[in-house]
Amino acid sequence: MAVFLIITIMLILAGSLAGLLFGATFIVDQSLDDPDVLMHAAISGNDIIVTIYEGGRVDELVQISLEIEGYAPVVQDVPKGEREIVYSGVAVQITGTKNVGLRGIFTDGTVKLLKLLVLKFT
Amino acid sequence: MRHTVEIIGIIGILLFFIFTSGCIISAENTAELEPVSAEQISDMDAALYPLTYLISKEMEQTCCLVWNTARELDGVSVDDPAVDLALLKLKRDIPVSYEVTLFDTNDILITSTEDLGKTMEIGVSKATTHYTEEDFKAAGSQCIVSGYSALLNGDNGVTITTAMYDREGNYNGTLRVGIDTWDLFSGINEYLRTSYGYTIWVTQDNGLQIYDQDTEEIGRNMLTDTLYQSSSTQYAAKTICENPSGHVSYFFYDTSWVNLVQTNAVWNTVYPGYGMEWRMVLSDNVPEKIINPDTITPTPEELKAFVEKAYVYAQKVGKEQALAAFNDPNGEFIDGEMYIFAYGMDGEVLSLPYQPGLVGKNRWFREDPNGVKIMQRVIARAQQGGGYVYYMAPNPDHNFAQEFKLSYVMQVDDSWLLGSGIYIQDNLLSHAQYTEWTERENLTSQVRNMQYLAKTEGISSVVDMIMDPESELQIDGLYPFAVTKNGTVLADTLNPEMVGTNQLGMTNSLGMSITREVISLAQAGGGVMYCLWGIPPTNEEQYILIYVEPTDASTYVGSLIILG
Repeated sequence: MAVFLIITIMLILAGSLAGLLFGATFIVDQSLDDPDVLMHAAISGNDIIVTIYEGGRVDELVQISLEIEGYAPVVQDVPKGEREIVYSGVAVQITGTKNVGLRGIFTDGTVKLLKLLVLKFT
Repeated sequence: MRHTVEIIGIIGILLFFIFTSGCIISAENTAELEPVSAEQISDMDAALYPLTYLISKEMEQTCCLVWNTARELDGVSVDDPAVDLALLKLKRDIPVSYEVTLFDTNDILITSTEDLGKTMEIGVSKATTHYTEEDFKAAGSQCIVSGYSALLNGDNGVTITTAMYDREGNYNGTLRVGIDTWDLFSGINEYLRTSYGYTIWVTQDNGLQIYDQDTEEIGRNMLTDTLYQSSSTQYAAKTICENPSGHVSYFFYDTSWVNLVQTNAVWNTVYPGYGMEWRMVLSDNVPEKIINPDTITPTPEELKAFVEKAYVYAQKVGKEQALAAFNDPNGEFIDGEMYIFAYGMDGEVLSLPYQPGLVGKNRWFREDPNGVKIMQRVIARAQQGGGYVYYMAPNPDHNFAQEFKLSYVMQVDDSWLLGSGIYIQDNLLSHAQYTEWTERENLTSQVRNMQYLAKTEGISSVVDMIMDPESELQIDGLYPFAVTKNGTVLADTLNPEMVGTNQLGMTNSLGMSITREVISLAQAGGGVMYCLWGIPPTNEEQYILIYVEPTDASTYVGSLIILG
């Protein structure tokens, strides 16, 4: 009985581990091979310029929300075909190193974190 | 018996071939060396002599300053504020110094002008070089000059050391000053290169190279390194190390590192202090700048687009596959003069398609001829997300002449960046012009003087002096300024209307965040950077060289030269 229990636990653990590994690999693969929206952000003076490159859901992207350290998200519309979105003045008074998150808002109403990066403002 | 004779015969024949082949190789190398006229040797000597004299004088003055400071501080407690001020003053008076430090008799760091938090801890960390009281007795009234080695901040250079004594005259520690040997020699090398078509390299008398315009050669020992093993180079290396002066010819690689060319050299000796001899060698292997008239330089926009293409590729295929593609000299990421370079955020080379031997090496401390720490500027820009950055670099398309380069870099993730560059031909630095080392020294001295005065007189006095055109601080052709860590301009001689305003948002036509970069550079301990900036009254953009230092955790002082 005890042996059976141990084998069962081991099988469950092995299954979980395999699932975790395959799942993680799938997520990584998916983000690399077929990103929803591939983008980047850079500081220019007091602005942050977000550049949209490509991805499977670029055409569905309607807005991008930019957050610095998770606070006060600033939402900007993404006009069709627009490649550069300028967040004017969002870096006013901001110094040091901060986390910047970019969330995409799509035509079906879904919201997805598209990019999280660490930017050095000074 | 017959077999023995045969074996001896075969061995004899083999030995004959071995010995004669050596002679043939040696003869080939030496036979091809062309004789050098006495006139040429005389010209080269004439170019070298004043520079040897200059460096000798500079080192003599430097050692004298270190010695005098030590005598001023003998018997003074390390807790006395006068100690820190004296060290800061010494740093100001020696423009090529990195850090000025005190160590106790057990070689434990007591105090430093620099925040060495990343590499050294006060009261804990030990100096790697140990000197005894007997060493200082042997040195007499001279300072001891170390061999080329790692300095306290992790960079390389030489250290000038002298003993310190307590009130009773007992030996109680050392005063040590780290010297940036690149800074010491690069200015005069640029002068020589652009004025005479010569270049200098400097070696210790044990063969260790302490300066070469090609940074990859610095730190190599020419007597033992495989790079210098050809017979003529070995002969030259030994002759130079064993004799205080002379002339010699040898074969060495040209700037392509493919062809061997005859190099003629003259040398002289500098005695920088006790225990050290430097051979200053002037050589004539500066290649003529060859310009291909058909070369079309891409625009900054094309450069950016090229880098963005590589960024997208890296995001899609992953780091390993992307680096393999970037390192392929025949791959899709080569476009005319543009190629993709990639670095780790610690300065490790990840991709350089035309210099594969450098992959894996760390270039964190690599400097250009004006002292701009290239990798540190590139990484700082990438950490802002990305953008344009300027520095000087050898242009392979123009026979590796030093030219002004504009790169565009992007942070791929927290661990690495990629970028590419183009050479800017509308800058005088790309056309045999150079920043005179005296001008560079003035820039350093002015900023370090402000740093010192901020400690002695207070930052408000320094601000007043910056804005007073008659103050003793002013030097012709330099434009000092002061700024807070939040971006508020305290003083600015070039743009007085900016005083009192916040300039974090200041950008140039390439979107470079000038104030943010100045603050970032000061917070990293200070240094030099280039920028493009609108100069009053027309506000036409010109290239500038900025030097900045922190005065404390919240205020920074700097100055700039307009290039051309």
